Order: sequence, then C-alpha cells, then structure tokens
Amino acid sequence: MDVINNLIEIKEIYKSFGDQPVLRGVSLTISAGEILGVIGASGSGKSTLIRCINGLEDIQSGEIIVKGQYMTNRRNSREARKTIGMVFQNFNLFPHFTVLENITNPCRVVKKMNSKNAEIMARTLLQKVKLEDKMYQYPGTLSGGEKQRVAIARALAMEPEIILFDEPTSALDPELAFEVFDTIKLLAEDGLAMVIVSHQIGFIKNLAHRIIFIDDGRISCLGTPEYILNNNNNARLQDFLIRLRENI
Amino acid sequence: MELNFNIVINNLPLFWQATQITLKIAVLAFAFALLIAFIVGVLRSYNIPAIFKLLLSAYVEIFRGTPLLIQLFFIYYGLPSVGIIMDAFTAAVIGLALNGGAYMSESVRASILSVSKGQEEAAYSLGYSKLEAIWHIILPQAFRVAIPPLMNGFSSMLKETSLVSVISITELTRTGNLIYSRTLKPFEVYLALGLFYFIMTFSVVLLAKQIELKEKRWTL
Repeated sequence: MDVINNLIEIKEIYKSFGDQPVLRGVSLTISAGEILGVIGASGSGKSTLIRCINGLEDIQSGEIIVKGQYMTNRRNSREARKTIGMVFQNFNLFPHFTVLENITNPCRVVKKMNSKNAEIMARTLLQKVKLEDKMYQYPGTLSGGEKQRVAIARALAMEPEIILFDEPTSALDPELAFEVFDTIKLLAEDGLAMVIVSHQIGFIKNLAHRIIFIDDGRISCLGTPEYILNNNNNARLQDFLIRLRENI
Repeated sequence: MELNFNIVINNLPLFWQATQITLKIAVLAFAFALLIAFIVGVLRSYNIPAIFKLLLSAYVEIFRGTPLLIQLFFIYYGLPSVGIIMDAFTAAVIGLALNGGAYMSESVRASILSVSKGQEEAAYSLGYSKLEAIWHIILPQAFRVAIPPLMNGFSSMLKETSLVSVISITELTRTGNLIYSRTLKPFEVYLALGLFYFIMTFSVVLLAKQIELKEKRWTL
C-alpha cells in the first residue's frame, strides 16, 4: 500500500561538490498531496536536496524513486520531471518569450499540444494566478511577485503531481512575497503535493503537513509544524529558530 | 597636378560590375561562415567527445592564427599540388568562409555562454530535452547577444574581399588597380574605391541597427 501512496522516495542519498559534502545520507518519503516544509541554515543543503529530487544535480550514492520508478539516468530523470514541477528563487522565466509564450512554449514542445490548446491552457492558468492582463508583456516588465506567479503558472501547465519550491520568495520584498504565498495557498487547496524550501516560518507552519529541519547535510528533525516549532528538544533547531526570529 | 573625377564617373559601369562580384563573394562567404560558426560554436559550448573538441579548437586556432592572405594562396595555389583544384571564385569563397567561420564561431560560443545557467535548468525542470532547450530557449537569447559581433564579422568580410584580388578575381579592388594602371590617377581611383567599400559597410551597420532594434522588444 505504502509504495502506491509514496510519490517520492529518497533513500540514503549522498551528494558532494568536489570534496565538500552537502548531503550526507538523507532519506525521506513524500506522499501524494503532502505539503512538506524544508527549513535550515544557508548552506545546510536544503536547495541541493530538492535540486537532486528532480535531477538537476547528480547524486554520488543513494536512490531516488519517483512513482515507483528509479531515477538512474538522464532519460529516467526526464520522465520523472514530467511529474515534478519546479519553481526557482530567481524565477528563471524565459525573457525572450511573452508571459503567454512562457507557458505555451513548454506546452507545445514538451506536452506536444497544438497552439490552440496550449493557449487555452495558458489563459486558464494565468487567470488562476490573476495575471491574464499581463499576458502579452515580456517578463522584463513585470514585478518580482508577478514573475514568480507566472513561474508557478508555467510549472502548473505541465500538470505535475508535485511542485518543488526553492526559496520562492527570497528574492522578493515582503509585500510582494505575500502575493506569491497567496498563490501557493491556492495550490494547496487543490490538493497538489509540494515541497517548500523557505525561511518564512510563519508561512510554512500554516501550510505544511510536515516540516524537516536540515542541518549539516542531514535531516536533523522531522515532524508536524507544531512539533518542530514548539515541542522538540533539538538544540540545533532551537538555535536556528531563535536566530530566525531575531532577524524578523 | 590636376584632379579629374571624370575618370571615376566614366568607369562607373566597370566599378558597378566589380562591386557586384565583391558583394557576391562576401554574401556567399558570409552565409557559409555563419553556418560554420553556428555548428562549431554550438558544439564547442557543450560536452562533446574530446577528440572532436580538439579538432574544432585546432580549426579555430589555425585559421585565426595565420594570415588570410596565406590561407587564400594555400587554397588556390597550394592545394592543386595535392590534386585539389578549384577556380579562383570558389577558392575565394572557401577561404573567406573558413577564416570568417573561425572568428565568428567564437562570437557564437561567447553568446551561448552569456545565457544564464538558470535558463537551461528551468527548461530541464519543465521536461525539455537538451536539444529542445538549446533550440527554443538558449539559442534565441544567444542570438541577440551575437548580432553585433556577427554583423561586425560581415563588415570585416566585405573589406577582406579586397584580398582575393591577389588570386586574380576581378572584384572591386582589382578593377581599381586596373583602372589606375590605365589612367595613372591613383588619388581619384582609390578615393572612389574607399567610398564604394564604405557605402557597403555602412549599409551593414544600418542593417545591424535595424535588427538590434527589433530584438530590443524584450529585456532581462
């Protein structure tokens, strides 16, 4: 039963950049519809973890299994990426395409949709993120918050079963971060599984089913938001939370 | 000494004929050079087997590291010794294309490297294959960066066609030389030649501005 419910299984993965270890034996399962928050200090390996999940980084050892399929080579990774969406800290919209084309191009190229269906899909999604009035503009003319909402719409267009958010609001001013949070909440209401790497504890605790605290390349603590924020005895985590609160 | 520009005016039909040959060589050579530059520049930007990498960089370095004049002499006068014979026009186009291709491939490569890594990653995360990402995402952005250096390449090529006069092609420069030796009026003849070349290269500059303007519709 478990195997079917597990969207992503990560078993004992190790990853290093040169001789610098970043992930040192991380195991984790994410089930369909689950929202997982990932917190940890800068350089602890949180971003690397989710970049490994969709194959943007190679791992040195361990296993990543997406919907029962082992990700072992480039072809497998490409298949898995159709299940997994990704939203980046720096948005990474395609600047040479209009907002509309940012969504229709991957629909046509990756999903082999015809232009008409791709445009219907794109319009629907832009309506969902409330940016249909900007669809003929180029990303360069949008605010950071708008860019990130287009990036979310673009990820949704691939109809993923899970979206990985790599610090989606770190490059944004606080008031623009809220509009992105609101968009992410919409997806949560739809029951989409998500992994959210973020320093915005206040946001994550209301949304996530579980939170993991990554410290020095390992999962140091895992539990419900309530447990992670209030009831754990993990000294490193408590230190981290105190520093985070001091900064706010 | 009296200046007499009637010499230029009387010979305009000849100059015009020669200009057409110059343009024909330049445009043909540029088209081939672009193709070479595109293929070599893209291949050298990505992971290809080491032996290909070595061959391609050898090509680029050799053609950039030797004078075009020697390359033309070698192709037209040297290659027949090993049984490769071609007419002067073909030799000129091949020489200019190989030389220009080597230079321009570096512009193509630099423009590809200028596109941020995040663009490729975003494409992969959406499920694009490597080739799809290069074609739809990387190259269109690299193109804009490459326009000014490539148009510069075309401009250089137009001027370098004057070198092919040494392998007996009656293009603009050689025509000028012939008219000079017939009339002994170097001031008028070479001033006119310079003007003709300038009109051509300046047209390229204007064309480049048009293309750049069109590409300015988006910003980063």
